[in-house]
Amino acid sequence: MNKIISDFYRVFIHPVDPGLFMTKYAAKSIVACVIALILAHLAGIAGKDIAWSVYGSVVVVLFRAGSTLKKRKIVAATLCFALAVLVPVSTYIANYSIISVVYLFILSFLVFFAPAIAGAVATTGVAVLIVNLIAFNSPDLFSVGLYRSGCILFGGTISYLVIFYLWPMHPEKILSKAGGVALSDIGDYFRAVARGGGSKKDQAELTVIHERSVESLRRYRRFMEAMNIDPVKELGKYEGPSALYALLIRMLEAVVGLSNSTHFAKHSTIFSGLRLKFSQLALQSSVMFDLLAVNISKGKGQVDLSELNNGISALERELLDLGAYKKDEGLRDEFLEAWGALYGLRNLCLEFDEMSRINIGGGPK
Amino acid sequence: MIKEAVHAFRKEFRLDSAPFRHAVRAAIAITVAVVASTFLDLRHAVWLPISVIVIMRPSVGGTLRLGWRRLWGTVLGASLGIAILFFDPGNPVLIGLIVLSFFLMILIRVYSYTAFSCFLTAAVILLLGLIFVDGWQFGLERILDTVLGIGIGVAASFGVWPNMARKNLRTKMSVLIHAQAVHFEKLTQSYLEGGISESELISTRIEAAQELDTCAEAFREACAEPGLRAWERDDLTRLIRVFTRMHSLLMAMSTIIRRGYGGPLPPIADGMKNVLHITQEHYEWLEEYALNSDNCMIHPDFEVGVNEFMRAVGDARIRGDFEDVPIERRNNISAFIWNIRSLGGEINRAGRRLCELRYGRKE
Repeated sequence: MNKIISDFYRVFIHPVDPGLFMTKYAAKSIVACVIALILAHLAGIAGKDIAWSVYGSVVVVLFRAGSTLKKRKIVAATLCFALAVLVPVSTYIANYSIISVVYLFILSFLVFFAPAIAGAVATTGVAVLIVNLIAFNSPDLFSVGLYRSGCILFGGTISYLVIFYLWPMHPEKILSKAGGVALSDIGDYFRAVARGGGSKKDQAELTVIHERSVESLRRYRRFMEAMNIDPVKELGKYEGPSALYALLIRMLEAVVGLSNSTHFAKHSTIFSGLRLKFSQLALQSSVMFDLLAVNISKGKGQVDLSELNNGISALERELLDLGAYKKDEGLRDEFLEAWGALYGLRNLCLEFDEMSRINIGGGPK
Repeated sequence: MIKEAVHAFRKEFRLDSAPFRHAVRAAIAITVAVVASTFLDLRHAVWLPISVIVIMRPSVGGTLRLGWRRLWGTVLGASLGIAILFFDPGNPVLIGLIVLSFFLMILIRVYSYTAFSCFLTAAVILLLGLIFVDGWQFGLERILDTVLGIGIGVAASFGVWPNMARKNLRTKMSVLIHAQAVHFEKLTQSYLEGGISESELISTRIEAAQELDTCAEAFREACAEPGLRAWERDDLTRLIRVFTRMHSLLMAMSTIIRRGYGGPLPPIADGMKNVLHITQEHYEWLEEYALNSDNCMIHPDFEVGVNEFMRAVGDARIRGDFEDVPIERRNNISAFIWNIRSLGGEINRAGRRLCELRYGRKE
């Protein structure tokens, strides 16, 4: 059963939502909306009015914006406030056809123009417009509009409280999980680079995995920013979450470097033996990467890289025996490429070493 | 903050401003959609304008792309909803499926708009099926309303100050190339003189990565627009791949520079400076060429510069200047040179692709 679940996660969930961050948020949102619905029912809101309570709770969970938790709270509160103010107006004005068309035109213009002044308004604006359109399609008295506002505020407040207070996120847990996900995604990318045969299909797969690992790294940065940690400002300090961010960046750079030169001198038969040994060594390194990831998650850190280092040194010797750095110009470009590839692998090995050491020194808690 | 907002308002509240035109375009489309839904006496009058609201984008290509996704998602979701209602699974199952659809809708929202739209539609149809006996009919109505909404949105995109994404590509490319050039300049400074912090390098790279994303999106929007020939679409796709490779080469260079072992070796330091300088010039040329290919400065001959440098390296080797240099440092320099050469090659390739797009493939 466990295998089926883990296979399902690997094939269907992981490519879409590694770390289950969005899955948890979606579950949280559904719970918030259901609680809002039940409470609205218990509070005696009935008939069509209960729908307004649902609109309030749904817009708060669905139309979220802002890079930090504080900003998200402000955006959610502003959204509820804007709806509470505008829905009675829309409900009432909808009774007058010409004025209502003018009003709607102005409202739509403002919603689409506002992002030019403040970018975060875009998401909120669309939510405001949609809910107002619903009010617009059921014209009534101003007092009815006010009651609708009350229902929206009720639903919105319940969602707000559930999302931000009753079931809040735990920054440290999320951050370390996001770091682990980023590391495993870079590991997947590395394995794809090591395995890749250079065919078009391989290249396409590599591009997808590369994008996923970059996105993972960005996600980690976004989480840091959401917790008011400036990832770039504190890069040099190598303490706390910044240390892991710096290492992840360097690891990704190293794998990208390797990926750029892994199929070196592919038109030269002289290098075919060396290329084969190189790809075998790269595959061996990918196993080492897994071991390192497991060790880091257990807090052990160190892995034995001597075998890998010896393998790279042997390849360097072989390259020198082939005639590299000799006092002539033969096969200059091929040698340059081959050194680039070997350097990429050596560099990755150095990053492995550094990652295991620095994590012990003070990674994210 | 208020000052900035006032400044932005003054800057953009003009007839020739792109955000102003987009806002007018969207407002017209939404108003027309609302009037049309009233005129047609639609049962769910709100579906039509909502379709318009969500697909409107500043460029024609953006609206077409999003409209297409919305259409596919709605057709799939409505079909799914109708199919489920056809089997009449009973209220408890329906409620479970509605909750599941909403859950999947929130989960998938940031990853695929088509899937988001599909689950949203399925959830709405199932919800209506739970309340009304003829719920399945809403599925067909939803599809028709969406088609009409997309039609109005697309018509407004073409009819009111049409903003073709391809017209802005030159500017977008030049911004991207400039961001990459700035990052390369920082890398160069770091390698030759040091004193550049890791934070500065990462900041400029993040900026370049963001511009690459923006540019790629603009390219995709341009590809979705009518009026381009197949080979032009193909060239646009290939060009963005070249920019992506340039970015990944810059990434690889960061790691080499970090382990620079004290920068270039004295015997080849001048040559190295020269190569880096030529690459910077090459970037400047590409930036100018992307913006204005007719009146551009002369294409710098990157290959000649690199070959001269490689000859100088060969001479230094013959003199035995590298004999005592540890192999790690030699490899570092070799890897750096290889990356610079590759970068120069990619800049040349980008220039060729731009030329093809400008003058056609035959020239």
